[in-house]
Amino acid sequence: MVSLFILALQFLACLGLGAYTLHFLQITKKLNSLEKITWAFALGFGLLGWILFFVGILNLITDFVLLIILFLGASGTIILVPKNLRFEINVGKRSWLDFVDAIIILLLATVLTGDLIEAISPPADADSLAYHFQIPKQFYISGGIEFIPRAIDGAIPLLVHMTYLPVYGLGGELALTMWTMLSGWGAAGLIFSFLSQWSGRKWALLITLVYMTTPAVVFGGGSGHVEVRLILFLLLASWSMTKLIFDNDWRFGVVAGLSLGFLIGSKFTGLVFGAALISTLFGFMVWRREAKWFSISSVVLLCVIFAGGQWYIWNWFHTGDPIFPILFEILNLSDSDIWDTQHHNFLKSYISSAEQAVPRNVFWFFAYPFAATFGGPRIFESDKIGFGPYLVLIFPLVMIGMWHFRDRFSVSKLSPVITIVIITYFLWFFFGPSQRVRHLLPAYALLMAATSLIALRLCNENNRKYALGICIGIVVSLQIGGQAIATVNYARYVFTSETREEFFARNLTHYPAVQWVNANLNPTDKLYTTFRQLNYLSQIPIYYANSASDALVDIRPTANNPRKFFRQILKQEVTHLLVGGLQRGSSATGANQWIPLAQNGCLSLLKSIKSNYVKSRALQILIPGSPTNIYHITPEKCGLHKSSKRTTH
Amino acid sequence: MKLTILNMFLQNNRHRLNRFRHYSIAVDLILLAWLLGVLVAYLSQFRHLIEPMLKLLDI
Repeated sequence: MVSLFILALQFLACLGLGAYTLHFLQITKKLNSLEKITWAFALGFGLLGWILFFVGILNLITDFVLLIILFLGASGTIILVPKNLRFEINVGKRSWLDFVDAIIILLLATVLTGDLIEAISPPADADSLAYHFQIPKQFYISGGIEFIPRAIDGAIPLLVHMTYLPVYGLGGELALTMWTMLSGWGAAGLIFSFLSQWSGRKWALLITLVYMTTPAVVFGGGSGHVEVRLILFLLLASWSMTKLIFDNDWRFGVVAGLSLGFLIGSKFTGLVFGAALISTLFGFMVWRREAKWFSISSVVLLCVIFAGGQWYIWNWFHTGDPIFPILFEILNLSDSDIWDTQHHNFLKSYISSAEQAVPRNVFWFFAYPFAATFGGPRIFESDKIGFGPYLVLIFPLVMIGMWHFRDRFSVSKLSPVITIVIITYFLWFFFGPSQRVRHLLPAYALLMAATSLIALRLCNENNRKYALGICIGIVVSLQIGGQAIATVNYARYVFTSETREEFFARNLTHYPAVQWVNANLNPTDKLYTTFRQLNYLSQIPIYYANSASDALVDIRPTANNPRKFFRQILKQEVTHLLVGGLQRGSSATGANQWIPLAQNGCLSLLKSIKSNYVKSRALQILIPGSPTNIYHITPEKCGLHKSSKRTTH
Repeated sequence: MKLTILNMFLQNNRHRLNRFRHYSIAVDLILLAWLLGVLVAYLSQFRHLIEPMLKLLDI
């Protein structure tokens, strides 16, 4: 009950904070009722994350402060209540629900039920447990924001993650997982209101259904991944920027700048979207010979820096690199405990080998969307976390439509949106670090909305709406089927007497080990682990080491210095190690540097636990895995440590 | 298909389109072929998952 109350309160707080902003800017009159709500939620969501950064660095994160913020924010919802509130019941006057409406509502209910079942279940996604949920949990426990000296998933912009903090702290895990569901629905609501400007309610809802059932959305919406929530910021920024370009109203520049800032403050790839938005804005201002280009762009840029600069300053303050560790070489930074040249070179080679599967050339620039739809290299993750077949299905309609309506490009409000997507894709493909499809999700949402409207208009003019309807019907049916298969795993938890522990045991590799750790170690202990999916579940402090992104403990595959490894884990005040079991022929380098330590008495085995390797959570493919060992560090008995000390003396 | 005919089709000029009704049907057939081709190509990447899916659903 508390979880639901906190969930509702945070939802209202986001609405209220956004409403205050819209009211302050006096643009509520320029928006319809639906737009007021969806814009307010998107803006308020960003504002909440923005406010909590400052609360966090001041170490003021307490239940009392969080509640005050939420209540103050929620008070703003009064602005959204219409002055002449009237309730009319039209049932009986005319048929307000036809057959197609009923089908759409049924499909929508199915999708929402699937989301709800996932939200009620414990979190099981590895990235969410590794850092999306772990970091807010860590900040809440410590009462403030701590710098996490780890690349890729530690020292990153965390604006969206800050919104997870109040719901987790005040409402617990259920409120947190429900919040990811609700904020995902917020993005769908914004897409619906964007579409409703041009299409009827029915078509807008159908296209939104395509979006909601997209595999990458089903995967990311219910987990802690930020991409789905970035859609809130990217779409609002693009939409308000379009209004700025065509209506020439600086207040929309403020909304665009704030949204873009929130986007940049949520993920490093937000910089790619930011560059695309800013260059589109400049391009259209030059094209339309905008006289006030300087004042307009100044307003937008100032708002971007104001809303999104804090995490970059935070990183720069701690590492000297605002985009840690991307500018390490460019800024010519010297080696430190946090980052050094060896780790930088290894990370670069790791990314180019593990995250980039196809060469960056003109051929693949055009071929990538098709390859990523029909499979492609494994790293694309295009099957279970892809975008589905929709865009390729409507491709001919969109191409003919774009050719047919080419004369309208200069006056169409969809032109800036499509330009943003094209520039984003260009920057991402040629300069982005990873070729995973899901990183493009915010751009996909814009593209599918804009292209659907083009296809719809073309079909409408030619009495061929059925063509688009068939495409949408097939895609939604297929994708709901996919969602249903993914939901079976969670339904088993919700609709049976399965316990939380049993759920984790069949969803997480090595889970029995963390169960043992929680039952047998003390809060004063500290556990070293490389199994990221256990980070959130450990009830004792952890040190999570990673071969590519963490330099404090060197476990690069070539690292072969057990003494140094031992010194480094002792420096991190580690008392226990959670590692994989010994296997025949396994080398003693990299993450296995603990093996010589165990052989030299530096570690004493406390427990060896067998667990399954979870190959697929959705399909429940479990393979018997090697045992997991929990060691206690025993420096006093360590031969290596003693000899190392002697050498030092 | 000439561009002028395509434009007529797109502009829904029914009177003139009647003379090109077969083109209209051809467009429908091309779209249908595209639809089927895309779906087959898309779904084929999941063929290795059929067995585990059936097992999951106890079929």
